[in-house]
Amino acid sequence: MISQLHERALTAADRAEVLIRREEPAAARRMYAIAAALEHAAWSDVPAEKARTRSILAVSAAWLYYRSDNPDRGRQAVIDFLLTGGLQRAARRELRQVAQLLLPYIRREADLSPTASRVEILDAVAEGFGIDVQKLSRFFAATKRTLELRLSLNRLVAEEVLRSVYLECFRRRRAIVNPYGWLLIESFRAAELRRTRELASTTNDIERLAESDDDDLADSLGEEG
Amino acid sequence: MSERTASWPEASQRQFSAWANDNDRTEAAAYGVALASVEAELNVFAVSRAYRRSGADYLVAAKDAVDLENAYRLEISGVDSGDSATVARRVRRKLAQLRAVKDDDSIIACVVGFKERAVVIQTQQGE
Repeated sequence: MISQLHERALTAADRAEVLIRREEPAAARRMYAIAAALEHAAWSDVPAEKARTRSILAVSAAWLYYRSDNPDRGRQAVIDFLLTGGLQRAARRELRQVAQLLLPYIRREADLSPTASRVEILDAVAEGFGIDVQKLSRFFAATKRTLELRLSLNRLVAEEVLRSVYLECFRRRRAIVNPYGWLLIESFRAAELRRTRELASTTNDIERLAESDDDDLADSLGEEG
Repeated sequence: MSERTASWPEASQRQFSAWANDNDRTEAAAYGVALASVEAELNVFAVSRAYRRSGADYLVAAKDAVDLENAYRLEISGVDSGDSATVARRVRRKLAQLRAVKDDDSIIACVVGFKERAVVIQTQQGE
């Protein structure tokens, strides 16, 4: 009735509801993202003088974004809606409410720096994927131990490698389907890279020593001894 | 107050099983009765839905509406086995909620009491 885009948004949202009932939350979130984008587009097509229609569609799109796997886009959309203006008071109030609910996602991402603790990162990854943090913590510990034993990585280096991989996993969470599989592969890849760099650095040191004067080499070896 | 009659085919065993959840059953049935009631009493029809935090609202408007400018948000509540006092309490609570929000939203509140076979409709015009 309003537009084909709105009709398509409702159809996509219906499909998302079916996926929720089938207990497929990841697929449902993706479908909600499609519905939200369509509702957002429908809002853009409504003339500015139709404040009530625009208000209803803006609020509907914002809640669909909230349910989707794209809260960042939702936050930006809410800002767009509010800045564009011409909305009813009730709609503005509700959009601010959605923005408040989206804020923790955004804040959490911004707060997670490369120096974040293991606990903070594990909490974020577990929440981001909706998986059990205890299980993820055991997975982290087991992977770390394996890296130490199989790749002879120093304990602190293994911890640092894993923290950076898990942080990256959190940042890319919307594009990762199987977090455990991704984490395992990327952890080994990152650890191998780190080990290769360390070996190269050690080789360079040895070559430098070998090229230096005999006395210097002797001194170095003497220091080592 | 007006009196209306609704009729429907008897539910099969399969339908009973499919709607075994009390809340889902009451909610879905209330939606059906409420939409039919506002259509019969206020001459407004479901024209769209709009998503909110939990679920979606029905939007009702005149049959020839081309947008949502004059649409009402339909707030529906179903009471399964409660008596007339329960329905009245639900209506009072709903009205108190609507009055508490000095809003520019036009809302129709509709409470469906199945045991009492009563439907209460209240409208709030936006500012």
